Amino acid sequence: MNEEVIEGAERARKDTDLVRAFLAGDKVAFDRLVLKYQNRVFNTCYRLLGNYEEANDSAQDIFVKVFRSLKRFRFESSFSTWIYRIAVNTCRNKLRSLQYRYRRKMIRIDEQKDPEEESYAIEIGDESQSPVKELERKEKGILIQKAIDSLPEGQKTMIVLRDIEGLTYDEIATVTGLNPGTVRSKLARGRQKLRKYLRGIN
Amino acid sequence: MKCKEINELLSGYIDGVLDERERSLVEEHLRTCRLCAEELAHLKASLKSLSSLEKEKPPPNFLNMVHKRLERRFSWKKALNKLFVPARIKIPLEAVAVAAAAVLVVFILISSPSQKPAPLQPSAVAGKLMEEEAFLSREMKVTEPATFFGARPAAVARGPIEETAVFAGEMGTAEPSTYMEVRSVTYRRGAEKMIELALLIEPEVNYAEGLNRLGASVHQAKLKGLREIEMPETEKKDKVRKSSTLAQVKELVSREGGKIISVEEEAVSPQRITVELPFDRYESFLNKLNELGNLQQTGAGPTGKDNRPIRVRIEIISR
Repeated sequence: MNEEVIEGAERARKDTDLVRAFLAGDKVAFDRLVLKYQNRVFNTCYRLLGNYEEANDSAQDIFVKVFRSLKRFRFESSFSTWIYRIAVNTCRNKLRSLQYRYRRKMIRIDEQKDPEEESYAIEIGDESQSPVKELERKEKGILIQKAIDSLPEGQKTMIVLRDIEGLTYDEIATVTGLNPGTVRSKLARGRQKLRKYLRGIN
Repeated sequence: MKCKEINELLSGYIDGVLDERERSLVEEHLRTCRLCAEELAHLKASLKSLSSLEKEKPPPNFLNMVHKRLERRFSWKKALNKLFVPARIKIPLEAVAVAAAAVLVVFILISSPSQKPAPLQPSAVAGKLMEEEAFLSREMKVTEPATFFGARPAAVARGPIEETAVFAGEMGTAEPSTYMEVRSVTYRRGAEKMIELALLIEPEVNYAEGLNRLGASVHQAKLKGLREIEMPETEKKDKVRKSSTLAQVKELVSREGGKIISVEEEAVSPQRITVELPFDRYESFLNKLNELGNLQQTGAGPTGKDNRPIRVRIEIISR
């Protein structure tokens, strides 16, 4: 635990050094920040949007925003939470604009909730017990992603930041601007919902 | 505690973020409730699935893609900046709004149909109107707005002629006087023809009748709670005389089928009335008017080119 804290502090110090270098005119510092954060940013985008191309587009957009707004970075929060905040906001806007475009394409699991919730769960359950028992990792991943997609936006953000990206409650509070209590309750509700969806494959 | 409430705490319990009381509640419940213990196990499994999800990675040339996007964005921005270099003076938004509003107002005024110039009139009439405009717009002696005899700033706007007649009284310190003057008159050019007449009246005409009228008007002023002001005797007589002539003119107008456009009744000198008469009754009106006093035409007469009603302004002047 102590090592983690030291490591985190060290990482943060390195980040702020890179930011300062960039602000002093060192363009390579920006590239190093991109390379350092591209995986995290990309994965967050992918999990929030549920689509590789959209994630790619958004992730690039996020780094352009970072480049443009680094001069306004105040060194009060860590660079990590700052970039996550940009990522979450960008994806939220994207989702809202995508909602219309993908209304027909997206299969929302929760739409089948009322009359068919049980049958859906059983369907997955059947598959898990059937010859498809060894669902390939990727297929399982697709199902989990569908479950994530079906969550309300706020709960989805909590799940992605906490259970996929591994941020702490306080970091999530900083990223989303919510208080830690709200983070805790939203996360709890999102997890409960997700557990229902994933009942069959666990 | 009910299972539902415990279920809501399980997420925090897994993360170790519950306070001491909540944690002991959950642990106590889990020892006795098999369902909630199962729920906890399921929840943990779900979280494990999430954390074991494969990390999606960006394409290998991601950094290049970001660079390209930055270049595109900034070269476009640069081009825009070059385009607007001369216009990069910062203008306050308020100033822009005021300017836009001004342009809009001007546009509305210009395009307003009521302000469109009327077709040109015969030159004699037009010339007369211009003279009249020059005469009437002359600034006259004005003090504070009068309260005399209930005189109010009177705005008269009828037909193509638009008059704004503001009356003012000048109160002397020793002896109140009763000067009432037209402060400003605005004419709209190109209006229809207007005949200007002067009616010179004799002092004796209908004196007694006029006195009664004055009494009545003073009484009315009192009723209205207005200030009663002393008037020199000669001026009283003058007013009486003219108000009676005015009444006769009004009667004449109605007999000839005309209508009264405006009356500047409170003005002492000269007293004016503007009327409109049918074209074919104009001559007989003039003849009858001549019986009331000495009638003089100060401007051009009707042109007779069309049969539109004729507007006449009569000034009643006592000799």
